[in-house]
Amino acid sequence: MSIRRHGRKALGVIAVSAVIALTACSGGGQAAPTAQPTLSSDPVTISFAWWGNDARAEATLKIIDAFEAKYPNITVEPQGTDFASYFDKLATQTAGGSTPDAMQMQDVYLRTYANNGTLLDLDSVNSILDESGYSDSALSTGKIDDTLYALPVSLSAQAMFVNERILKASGVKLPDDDTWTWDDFADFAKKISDAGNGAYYGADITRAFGPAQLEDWARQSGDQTFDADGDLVIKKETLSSYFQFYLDLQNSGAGQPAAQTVENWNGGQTSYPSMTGNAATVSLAFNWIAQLTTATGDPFLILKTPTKDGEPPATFNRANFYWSISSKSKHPAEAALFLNFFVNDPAAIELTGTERGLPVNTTALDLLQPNLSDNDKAQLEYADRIKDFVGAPYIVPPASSTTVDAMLQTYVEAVLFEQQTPDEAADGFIKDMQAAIDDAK
Amino acid sequence: MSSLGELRRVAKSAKGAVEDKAARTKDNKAAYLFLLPWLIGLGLITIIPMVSSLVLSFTDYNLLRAPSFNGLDNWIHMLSDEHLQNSLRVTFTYVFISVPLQLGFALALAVLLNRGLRGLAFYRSIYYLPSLLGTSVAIAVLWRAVFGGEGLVNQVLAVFGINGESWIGSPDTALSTLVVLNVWTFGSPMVIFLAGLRQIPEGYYDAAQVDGAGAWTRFTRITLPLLTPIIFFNLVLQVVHTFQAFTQAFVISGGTGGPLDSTLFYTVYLYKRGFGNFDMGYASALAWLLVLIIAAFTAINFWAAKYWVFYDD
Repeated sequence: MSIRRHGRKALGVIAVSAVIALTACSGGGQAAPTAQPTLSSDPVTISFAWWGNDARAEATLKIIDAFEAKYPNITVEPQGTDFASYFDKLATQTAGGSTPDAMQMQDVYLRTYANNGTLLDLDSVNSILDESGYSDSALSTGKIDDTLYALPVSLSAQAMFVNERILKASGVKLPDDDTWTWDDFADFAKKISDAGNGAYYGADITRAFGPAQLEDWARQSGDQTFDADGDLVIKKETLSSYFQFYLDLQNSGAGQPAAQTVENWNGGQTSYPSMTGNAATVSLAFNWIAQLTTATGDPFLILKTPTKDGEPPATFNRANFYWSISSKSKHPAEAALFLNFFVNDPAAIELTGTERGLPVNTTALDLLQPNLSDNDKAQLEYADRIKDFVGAPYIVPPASSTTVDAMLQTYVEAVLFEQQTPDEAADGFIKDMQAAIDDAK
Repeated sequence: MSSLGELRRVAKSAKGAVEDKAARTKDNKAAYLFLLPWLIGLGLITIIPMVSSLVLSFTDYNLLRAPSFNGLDNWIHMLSDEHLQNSLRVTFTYVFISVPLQLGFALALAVLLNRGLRGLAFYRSIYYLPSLLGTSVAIAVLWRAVFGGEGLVNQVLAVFGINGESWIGSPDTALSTLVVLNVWTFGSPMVIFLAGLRQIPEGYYDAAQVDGAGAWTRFTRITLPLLTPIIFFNLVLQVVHTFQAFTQAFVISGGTGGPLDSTLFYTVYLYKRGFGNFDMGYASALAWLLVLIIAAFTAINFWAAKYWVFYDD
């Protein structure tokens, strides 16, 4: 018995440490320094937190070594974790007053952390952290109320991937992605499913659960999910047409049945049917090309996402992730120096390569240009194809944004299992989401 | 002082030979010294956090900012929280179905194993194994593989021409797979039942057999009544335990409690509120409600025990 309890205790300890931390915690605060901080010549230790796999950790540690060799008075304490536990840990550390000095950040959490005064205004250290390689539009993905809280690492836009092996096997003709509509896409996916006769499906319906897919749909309807202030603005019709589209896709047989979709979505990205070679198409951000080809061993085409009525697409950029600095850092100058090294130093750029996506920092991208892989080139080519259609960047979701995923999941499930009509689900989503946003204010 | 001397002193005072107050105080001091690591642990990772979370349950606390008191807001909100009501429904269903099944299964196997089987130690270990692994992430992952759409169960069904859908992906069956997982970890109550069965004097059975009692009569008239204290012990323990189930549902549903909230255990909901919605004040209140629920069920169990538990002494 005691042993069975340990598993649960481990979780208890996480919660508990959050609570203990409270007694010592002094919480919020703001006060971005007006003057630029200066570098110390005394020994300084800063902490740096990131998420990712072992290969990324290895490269990151090498970058830290190179940085420490260049600046011998600064020691960087590495805090690498897997993504699943990263934000639980960060929340707990922040509650305990030990936020890492420099850290990786994601858009769904950015507004929450920024609004609670935990992140440093990066323009307050821009004499050390050189932002000149970043375009204004790139930087705008990391801004909340005109303050730069996060430096984007790589950007990507939505695309439609097609598995070439399955396409060939099915014998279905590929539509022209310059003109195709969602109806054309549904038709195309259904034909592939029919040809596969159970061996593979045309569409990967797990994508219905993705907030970025919803945003993509909304943009093409001249709508968006949230406005710049983080308020919910999406129209009911936009939502219900989105739900209806995926329901039809499922019921036509273009995608797998609901129970299988839910299982694969809950199983994480490695179990998406497109990642296991069971679905011919998938709507994802274009930086997924490497994961898709590695997971399936198949070549993929990157196509434009279909549009609502065949008009030119309206799309958007979204930061894959960012770097941020803690507003509580005792050494903001050194933290900025480290991030500057990470994004601008040639040695660090070479060590990172394109493993964290194609760098949005043009200094880095120029340096990497000669050694880009085919997958990297395909991404650049796609980015170039759609560059005229890219609108305002994905609006950093509101403070309660971590619930966007959960809420979308609730209502997509209700629709796919036909517990609610798309109209009912659209009403429910708007009501719940609005309540959550009000709650967070 | 040497530990041997300490032992001797303890032995002496145990005999009542020494009525030396000073010595006893000294013994107590030594005892506390040895208990110190545990006491520190108890204070730091149990008592202080529990008290803190009680305080937090009366606050609005998002983890990132200092908490601010909001009186009974969290507690009042619980009354109208549909997700909470749903998670209670799921958790109660889970407890009420899986605990009796698990204990029944454990008892049946304990009785079988108690019949002087050769290699008992081996079987006991084998059957105990799931108890050790049952709440681990690895087993929850394995369960996905067994009850998934293309999992073991459906592959077996396919042999008989039945085309099963995903058991863990369907809102009608997802919770049942978790019940099966819990029943499968019957090992620890089984070991306790086995120990209990050993305590029943052979003489009772011999006498009953002489009087012509069959196997079933012996089981219902001798084994069950004499085993009630052990059943009671296991029942209390498993109810407390099962109310707090987390890992299985969390891993199998990918942290969502889905599909359609059908596996939204109380603790999973608590976690989602605390770390997903950054609503740690409310999550703390939820944690205390769970403490109250478990305390109430334990109290009911103890009260009901008067009517069915039989102590043979």
